[in-house]
Amino acid sequence: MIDLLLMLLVAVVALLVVGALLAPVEALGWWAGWFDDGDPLKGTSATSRVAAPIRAARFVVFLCGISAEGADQLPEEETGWVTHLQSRMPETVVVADVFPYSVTNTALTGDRPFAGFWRWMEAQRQAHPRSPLFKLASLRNTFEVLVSADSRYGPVYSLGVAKEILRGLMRHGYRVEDGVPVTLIGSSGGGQIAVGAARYLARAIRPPIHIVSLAGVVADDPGIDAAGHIDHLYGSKDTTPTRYAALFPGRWPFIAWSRWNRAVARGAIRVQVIGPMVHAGPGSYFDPERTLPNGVSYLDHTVEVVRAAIEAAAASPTSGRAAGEVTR
Amino acid sequence: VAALAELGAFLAAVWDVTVAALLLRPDAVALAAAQSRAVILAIASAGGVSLMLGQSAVLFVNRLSPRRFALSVAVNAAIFVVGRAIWAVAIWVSARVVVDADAPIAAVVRSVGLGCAPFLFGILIFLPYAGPLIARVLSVWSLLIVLSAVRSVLDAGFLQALICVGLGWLLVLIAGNMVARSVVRMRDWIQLRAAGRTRLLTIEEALTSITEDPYRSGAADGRR
Repeated sequence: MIDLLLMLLVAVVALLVVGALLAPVEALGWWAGWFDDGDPLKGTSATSRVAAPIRAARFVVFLCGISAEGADQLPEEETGWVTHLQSRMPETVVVADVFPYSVTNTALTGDRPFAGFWRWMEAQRQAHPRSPLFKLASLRNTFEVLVSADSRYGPVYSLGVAKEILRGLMRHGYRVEDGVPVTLIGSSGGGQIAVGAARYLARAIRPPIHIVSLAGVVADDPGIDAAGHIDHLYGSKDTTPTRYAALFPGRWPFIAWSRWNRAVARGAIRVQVIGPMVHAGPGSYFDPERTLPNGVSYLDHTVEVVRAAIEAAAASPTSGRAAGEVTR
Repeated sequence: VAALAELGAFLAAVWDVTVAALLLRPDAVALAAAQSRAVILAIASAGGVSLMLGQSAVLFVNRLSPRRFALSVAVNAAIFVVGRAIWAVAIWVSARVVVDADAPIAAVVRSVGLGCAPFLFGILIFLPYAGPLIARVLSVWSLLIVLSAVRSVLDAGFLQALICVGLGWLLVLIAGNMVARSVVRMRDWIQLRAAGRTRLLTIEEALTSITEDPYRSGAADGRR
């Protein structure tokens, strides 16, 4: 019996290692042209026209959390939150069809190796909605967050995602020459992806890029310097952002010369605890049922805080806040 | 059937020697000496291939085709094995000069070959984020095995073994920079021929080539 358990454990660890080893291959293979026959940036010109231009005060790109399986398969709670944000900011165009865990914006069930496995998983969801197997998508996407944070793979990965963000913006009527400000909202692992992509997106889009890290897991990424301003928001009962930050030496408070700590010191990063939210599930940022003492739901409150952060960035697009300000 | 049995025995010998080396067992050198040279060569070659796969990000960044990629991994693994052999010779020379040891050169080569065993895990360097740390761990592990084996072969103390191994490494470095420049140039030429490039770009160089106008179609070509 113990032998069997040991074998099972070895098999699980081996599968984990293989999964992690395969994680950088999508981005690197895309860059190397292994999966198609041409230029990785083919058709992604800053002057290309995809949709009729739209007059908007701002464009917001929502980069989902790690539990999503594709841009069109966001968890219900995140879809509701995005809809609510759009309704509260009618003058803003909210783009939510960019899957941040793929450099080609391909859903796990889309045109890719192992898509059959993810489709089979999806088919099981009706019969076994609480199966721990569904955590596999989160695990796979977590590996992609680590790819983005890795100095060897991160630049290629971030360039690929920046390309897809630009394409997403253009699908929704964005024109580079109009100079309309852009905010990237990165939820959970999407926070790191947003910061990474900002490094390359900033070179195509003229105005400074504002980033909202909603309970984001963010490394000490070069994209921090490229972003105009970062609002890092999380709940007091959500340990995920701080726990994962410990993985990245540049996020350690005593490494004063890291990009993150220097940006916090000059006010380019504002850290804010926004309420008693947890990372996911009931009591999370997207929960419409749970309320604050003043009767406002967590969902409404989070949308309001994010809207206020976006408007503050719009009012002062280039300046940071007072040095070292951390609002709690 | 006989060939299969022979292959099985060979793999069993490779396994035994590898495990002894990885565990820094004192009998690793004797175990390796009792086997054919092919056992050590197999460990070093497999370690080289695994290490090169782990460090293959640069090949992807330079947009090598799958065929060039495989060729580059194989060629760089061979260069790794030759480099280890040269290091072994340098250690042997250092040992003769510094500690007046007269160990056979083959024994020192075997010792350095045993040090390649941790690089069988070299592919793990490819793991996102954890890879660079794993690379350091494997390098230290390899060095400890080489030190332990050289110490056993020279019948010397730890410090003497450390001096020989360190001096050997310095000798290779100096020879590469001053005496054998043409050899180094030939190595580089072989690497680039395998990759089909005139120069291998770093990731920053490869991406800088498109950063002036990053979304202009056709600007991103690593083959320039």
